[in-house]
Amino acid sequence: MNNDHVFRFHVNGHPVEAQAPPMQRLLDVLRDTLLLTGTKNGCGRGNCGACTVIVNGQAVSACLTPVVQLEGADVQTVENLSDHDCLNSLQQSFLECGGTQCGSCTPGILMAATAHLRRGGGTNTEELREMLAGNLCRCTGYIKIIESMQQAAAAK
Amino acid sequence: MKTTESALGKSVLRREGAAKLRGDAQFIDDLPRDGAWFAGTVRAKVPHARLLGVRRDERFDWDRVVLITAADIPGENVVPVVLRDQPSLAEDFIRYHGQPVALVAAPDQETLALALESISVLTSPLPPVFDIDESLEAKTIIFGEDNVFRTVEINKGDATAALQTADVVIEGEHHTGAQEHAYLEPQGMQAEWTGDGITIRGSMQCPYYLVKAVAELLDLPQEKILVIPHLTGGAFGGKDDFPTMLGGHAALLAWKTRKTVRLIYERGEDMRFTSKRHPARIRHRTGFTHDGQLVGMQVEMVLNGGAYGTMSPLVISRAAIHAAGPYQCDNIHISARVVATNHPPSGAFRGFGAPQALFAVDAHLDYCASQLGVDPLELRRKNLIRRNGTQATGQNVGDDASAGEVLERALQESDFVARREAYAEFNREAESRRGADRFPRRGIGLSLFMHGTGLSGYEEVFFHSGVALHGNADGSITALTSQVEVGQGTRTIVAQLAAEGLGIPVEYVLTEQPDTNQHPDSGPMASRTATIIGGLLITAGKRFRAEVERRQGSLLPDPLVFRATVAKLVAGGERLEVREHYSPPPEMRWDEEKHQGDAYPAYTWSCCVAALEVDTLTGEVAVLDVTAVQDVGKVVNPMFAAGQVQGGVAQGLGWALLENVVWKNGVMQNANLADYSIPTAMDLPPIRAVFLEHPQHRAPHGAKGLGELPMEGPAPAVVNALRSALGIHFRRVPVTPEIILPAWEARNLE
Ligand code: FES
Ligand code: FES
Repeated sequence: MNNDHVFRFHVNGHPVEAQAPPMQRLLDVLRDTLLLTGTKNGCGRGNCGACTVIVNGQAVSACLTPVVQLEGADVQTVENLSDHDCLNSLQQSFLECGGTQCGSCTPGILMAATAHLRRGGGTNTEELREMLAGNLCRCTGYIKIIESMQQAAAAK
Repeated sequence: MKTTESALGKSVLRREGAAKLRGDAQFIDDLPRDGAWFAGTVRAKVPHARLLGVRRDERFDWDRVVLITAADIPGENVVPVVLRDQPSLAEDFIRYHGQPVALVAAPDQETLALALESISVLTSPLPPVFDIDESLEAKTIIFGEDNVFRTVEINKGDATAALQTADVVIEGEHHTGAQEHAYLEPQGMQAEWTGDGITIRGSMQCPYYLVKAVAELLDLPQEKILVIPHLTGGAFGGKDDFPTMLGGHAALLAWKTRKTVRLIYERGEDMRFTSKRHPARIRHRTGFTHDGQLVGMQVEMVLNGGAYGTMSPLVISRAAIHAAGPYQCDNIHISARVVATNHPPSGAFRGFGAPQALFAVDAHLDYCASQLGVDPLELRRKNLIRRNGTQATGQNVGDDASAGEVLERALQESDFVARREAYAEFNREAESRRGADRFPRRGIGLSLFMHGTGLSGYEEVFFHSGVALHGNADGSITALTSQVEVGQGTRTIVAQLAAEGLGIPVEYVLTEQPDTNQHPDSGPMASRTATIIGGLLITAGKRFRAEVERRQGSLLPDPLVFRATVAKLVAGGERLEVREHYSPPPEMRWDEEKHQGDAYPAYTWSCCVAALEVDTLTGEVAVLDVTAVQDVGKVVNPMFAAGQVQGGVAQGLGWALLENVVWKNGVMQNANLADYSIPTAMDLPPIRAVFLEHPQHRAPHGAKGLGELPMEGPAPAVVNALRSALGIHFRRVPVTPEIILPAWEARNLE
């Protein structure tokens, strides 16, 4: 008994054909099938934001996104941010400002921030706090994450 | 000729930072699956019972999986932490809901899930004990003869007599709740059978605990056990003792299956069944003269240790030593007990017992000031420990005495006095309006506290921590410790500290992922890396340099020349390695039995100020800002140090205001990250970290411990600020809107 379907979409610019049951989570496709383990599983229930990726320009929780919703979609993960080893300006700011500590929340926060900044979202502290509300970080108290984003935005 | 500029005090960038930011840093759940089997845990579903056995549903084909119960354990069925009371798998009794009874490994997740559904645990229930008083009554015995894991008594002078003659005696009882670590990466281990031994990789703080534990469990020599702690996605003490159990489980399955086995908890399982911060009840009786001079303190503290001893005997020691706070009093009696209940075992958590003790004493003192009609700032100024003062164990702190300075600095940095007055005016204004009860109130409060550096008393001697420096063929030097990178920046600061001793640029020092073959046991974390391990690294670095210069026959101040010389010596077949082990400063004295003497080589002193606004319609608290001032001796990496303070304050605010573990029959009911709320970016205020650097003389570079300290300040500061806002003294954290609102409404009925 196999209810697998084939779903076609793009991940980080590459075409992907995923054979999976329709309700399979994007998180599992990314981590287990495509071996893109940068996207983290912090809770599996949409509560922590560690699995945040960008789908068609929107930040979404990969643990809540079934593959059936992805037909034709453009998915971007943390692995797509840097050019080989070279960090992009947002990543570089996180490195310089101390925006990553243990790193579990980091990929999700980078993707949420990327979607926000690309959209031209506001970068004052209140706006960034609101944008980050769905991404938990237990290490930093968010201060240096916000500073990192502001430094990156200012450099633009 | 160039010499090397010191890397201490520089914000050297995080070594593994780029990998974390690119998404290619590997955590345990990111390892390739490569035929690894999946594992799960069969758990008891009652809090207290006699274990009768497990029943396997015969409709399931058990040949497809491997099942292990206590009877299959080849060595000793124990999780050795401090006591040896906890079995790896339950044998005769169930002591908490969720206790592991059996383990299953299967080739895929579906088979594993089916197997776990096809097995049940047979028990015959016993009456459970959940709270401290029930445990102390000892009608039902869970541990030993009286349910007490350990009692620590500390006596200084004669507290009873002092309280009899005091002008005023003020009593207070405070409570603190359980707290979930909520590291973003859940617990996980992968174990592999290597033919004649086991390799375990995982998320953990203390790889050497696991070597000893697994050797006993499998009855294998310790040399056959290799432990590799991976990059660990947050720990906070939650990955100190608990992985000793989890790693043992993974190892048992690897041994039985002769395969690689992954045992990764999902979030709910992690929250329900791993350790929490010890809940506490702390009673104070405190004597003063009329003008607020502290003359006697009695502290009676009980911590809820849960079902097994884990780290409790050490937690209660640190809690007791910190119970009188940073205050000078000649007559102190502290009685501290940690008791057994049918909750999951409590364990190590940032602060290790000190946060509970410090919350109670500082909230109580602030309350005492209000009862005495004295300004709480004056009460603290009058009673804080000064130069050559003595704390509760009789330790003379010498000139390591910055309590007064951190207090004054925090007042100044936070503009405390002016803001207190402004908020009082704000509140008077609210009082004068129609429907006064509905308008918000503001308050500002502070806490004064200290945290002992390193392990308590003799523990540091017991661990005999070691570090090593090793010269490489390219002239670089590898620094070897077993300190794990959990986010605090260990890999980077170990390199900074070694470079300082060696007198070379930090880039010449390599730091790697530790493993227990190559890397010496440098003990647990416990705010020790920058100070205790740092001291060893600096000493080792100096010896290493001296050795290279001796072999070369000349001084080598130029770092390039030094590097070339190391390369040449190594290429010539010489082995360049220096090891350094901890030995306690010879003048330190400690009586473990009486808990008297020099409890710690130094203390980190701190003052935390919190300003807040209370919505009196909802009872919700918005923290406006926090200022944390601390004397850490020497800041090794300013960016990391500020990050530790901000993260610690955030965790402390969570404990103070939000994080409420809801128990029912010994099971956490809100075991997910939506219903158990840790602070989000919206909940947190600006947090300012201010550092004083008065070097301690027992470390070559002067650094004191930092990691745990910052979480200790917010809870008392918040409760004190709430009293300044509402005129109500809250005696419990977390102090949630469900507590604040009724108290506010009741106040208005009076
Ligand atoms: S793993 Fe998706 S939100 Fe937590
Ligand atoms: S850096 Fe550890 S959770 Fe954010």
